[in-house]
Amino acid sequence: MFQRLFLPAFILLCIGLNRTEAQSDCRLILTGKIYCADDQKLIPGAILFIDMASKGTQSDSTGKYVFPELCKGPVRILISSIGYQTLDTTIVINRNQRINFMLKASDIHLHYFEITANYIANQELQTVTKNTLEKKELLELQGLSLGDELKEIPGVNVLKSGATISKPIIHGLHSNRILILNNGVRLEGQQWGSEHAPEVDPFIATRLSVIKGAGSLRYGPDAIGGVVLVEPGALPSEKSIDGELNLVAESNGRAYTGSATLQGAFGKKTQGLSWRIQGTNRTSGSLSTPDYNLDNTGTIQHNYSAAIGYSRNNYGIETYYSRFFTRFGIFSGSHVGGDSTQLIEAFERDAPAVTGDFSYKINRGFQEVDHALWKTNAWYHFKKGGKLTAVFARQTDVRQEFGFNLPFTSNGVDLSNFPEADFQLTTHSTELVYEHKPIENLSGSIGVNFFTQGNVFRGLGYRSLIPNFRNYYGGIFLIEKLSLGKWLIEAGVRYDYRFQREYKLNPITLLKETPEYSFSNYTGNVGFTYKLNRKISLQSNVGKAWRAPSIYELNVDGIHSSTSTYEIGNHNLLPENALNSTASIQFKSDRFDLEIGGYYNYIANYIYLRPSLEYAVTYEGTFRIFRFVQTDAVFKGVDIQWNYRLNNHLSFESKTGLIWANDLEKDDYLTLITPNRFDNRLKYDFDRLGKINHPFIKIGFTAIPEQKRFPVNGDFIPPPKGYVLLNAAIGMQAGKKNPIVISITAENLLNQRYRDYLNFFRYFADEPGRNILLRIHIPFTIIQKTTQKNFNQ
Amino acid sequence: MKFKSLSSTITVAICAMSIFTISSCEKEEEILVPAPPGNEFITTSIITATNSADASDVQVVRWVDLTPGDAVGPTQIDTLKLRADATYNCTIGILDETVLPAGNIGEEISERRNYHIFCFYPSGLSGFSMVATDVDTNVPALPFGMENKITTGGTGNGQIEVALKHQPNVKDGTCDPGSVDFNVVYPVIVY
Repeated sequence: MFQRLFLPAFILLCIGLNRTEAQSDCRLILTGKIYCADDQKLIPGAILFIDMASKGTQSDSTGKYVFPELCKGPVRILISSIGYQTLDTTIVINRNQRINFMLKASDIHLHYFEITANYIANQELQTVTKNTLEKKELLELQGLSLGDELKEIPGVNVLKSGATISKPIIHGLHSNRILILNNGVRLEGQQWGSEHAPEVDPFIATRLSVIKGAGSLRYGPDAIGGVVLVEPGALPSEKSIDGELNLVAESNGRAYTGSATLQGAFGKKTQGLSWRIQGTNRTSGSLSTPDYNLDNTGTIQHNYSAAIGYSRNNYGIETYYSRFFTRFGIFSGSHVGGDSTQLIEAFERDAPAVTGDFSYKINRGFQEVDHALWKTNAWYHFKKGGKLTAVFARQTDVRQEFGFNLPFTSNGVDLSNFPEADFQLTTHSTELVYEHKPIENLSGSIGVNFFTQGNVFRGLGYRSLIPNFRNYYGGIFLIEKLSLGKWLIEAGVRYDYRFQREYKLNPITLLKETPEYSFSNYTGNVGFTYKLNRKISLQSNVGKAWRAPSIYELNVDGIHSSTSTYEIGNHNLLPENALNSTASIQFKSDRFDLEIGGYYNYIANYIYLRPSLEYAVTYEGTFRIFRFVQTDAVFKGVDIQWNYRLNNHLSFESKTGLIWANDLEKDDYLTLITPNRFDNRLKYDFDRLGKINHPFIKIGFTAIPEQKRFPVNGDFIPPPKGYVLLNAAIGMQAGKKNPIVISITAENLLNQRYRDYLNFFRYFADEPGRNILLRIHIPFTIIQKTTQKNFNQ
Repeated sequence: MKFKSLSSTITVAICAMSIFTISSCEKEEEILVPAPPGNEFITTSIITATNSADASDVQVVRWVDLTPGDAVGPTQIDTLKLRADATYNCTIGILDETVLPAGNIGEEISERRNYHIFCFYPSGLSGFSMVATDVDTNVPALPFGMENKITTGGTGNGQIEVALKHQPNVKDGTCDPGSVDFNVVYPVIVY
């Protein structure tokens, strides 16, 4: 009846009377009214959309809606209205039914582009290219890192440093060019490092979204490549206690992960008070390639979060705390050191000199990251319309790196537990957004952000890798959206100012120096969506974005041990300026869905590392020097995603990501650009087998051709050969109401030996071999929602 | 009325937050924390070579970089001058000369000899070899190389690369496993 599995926690659902008249399969009528959950008032003009059937309608002046000619079976309905949270639910229709829906006043207006007022709207209608992984899809990816989960989205890849560190690449851009929004707060970690993974527990998300292209307008500068939104569900609003337990076991690394969530809301006098706690634990031993063990690649992770909120009809306040801790080993085979001769020898070996045996133990050559986020947000709905939201957040990010070697000391001091490098970044941020009452068809918001951060380096190193610094940063933005029949037009402008002061010792005079930098610029976006008919929609967006050079790019001066290069920053780097155009077309029908998106991203003053012909002679050997330089660059490409449902059982899904990236000044390719990528999958859903629901079998492959577009002399060795990986999965659901979901997935089923161009450790070792994952998702209810009780009667 | 009071509350709250964010910072970043005392940096490597046939022929060559780990190269590299067709008994010293008196890192390396090995890579010289003469306390004992022997052949110019490899749990007597702690090159003249 009611597939809670797909139901975000914020949804309120009420049911009216059921008529029990039998009808033929595709002539069923769904009707009812749309109410406001807070004051029970009827909502006229709400937009309802049925996903699979591409059917849309609007509630009339009395809040009533009608969907004629529906087929028997489950339908996903999306209901949206300005000022309310979009309701996304799946119901099963087996007779003519009357269902009343309740919309909850929206407390998240951050995702301005989701609020659409087109005649026939759904969540996907927006002018920037955005793809979302919903809870159902996330269930099939659990246990993977954030980057690896996002790889499901065409145009997104991962940059890896060995098997344990991965971070997302969107349309060829990564690290500081991508913003990660952790529950609405800009994640501030040590993202300047291309081998520093995002400090986020993917289990907190019920939705993971990627905005491909410039997302700076709303979220601040730097987002030249895109934005990743890690969104937990809203807190429950009705008296209940429920939760879920997720378990993942993996064969490679003998990893085991457990994550649990418990949430609830109070009723009666404390109505409006709700809470959630969540925790994840992950342990993995060393991973193995088809031929050998990858020594010292174990990981542990302990993450938890807690939220408590209070909301009434027209205001609400919520506070949220999350903690992310990880310790992981650095693959011992990557630390070759020495001069380039020894390095080339290591590159040419088929297997690392030392492979060791499987172990959970994490030896020296490890890193620890401890990230804490505390966020408080409040919102207020004005009586005459309009809404004010305020967010305050504090983040601390502590990153400690322990080298392979014990520090040398002759005076008896024990330095064995002292990290070689220790970065402590503390960020305070505030945001205030006012969303004005819609004026006719025009809706919009104005907001200000402010943040400041301080970074402290401590460590054993003779010099620090990056200096201590203090940042101040402020921005103001205005976004307006105009809805005209089939058109949705949006435009926005933003201004940002950034000031940075560094604190460092001059290595020669040993005096403290405090160089200062300031950057400021405008950001702008214009875009439209045009809904040609119920099946086809078009959208396009042009955005300007910029990014100030990172502290690392300005200052680095030292050996990068995993690649044995000597990197040198440049104090004279100018900010990057990007002009990003995206366009896409979406086609949806009963059996066939297609989305094609193209992009053209021009970046003036693109910052990258270029090999120089110089060498640095140090006591650790002779190293090739790489310098940060700037050029004008273009990133362009196409993402294609389609799926075809032959019948209710058999479906085929295909995703393609194509990319070209050029250095315009040198008229050459850029280095380290994602190769093209093709994913194809065939799924057979048995629907029902005895008492189990939706048993399925899925088989697919990922093909990555060799990257032929790379600059000569840009790397030590050419990109590795292309590869094809076969993947397969089986799974099922048990139980009707709160189904337990179980699946077994095999990645790299044929245990293929391969290396990936975007893995910094490709020089030293193969990628991990076959991995079989067992995933179990167990939802449970302790106190049931009253509306749901009625519904189930 | 309610609206007014609430919005002013929010305004006050935001201002308070802003002030908090600006003023409450401990300004820790302004204090540049030096590396903890006791940590030592490799700045200097010394080879002391004594001619086994002539105790008065003692060669002491230094390789010095007083700013370790940066791209500014070494400040001193001596040339090792050896007689042809001779053998020299050598010891290697490693110092931290960023402090006074210099820290003797060589002593610690010697204490950690069970997972360190010195490796020697001569080039451009005929009949030249440099091999370890000491061993560690592993069972069976494996070469260490802080004490070693150079055998020279014919005259000529070339170089010797001296590397210290760090091989925790993987020392097998060869130079393949592990990472490089130290790797310097001395020019050599055999006359």
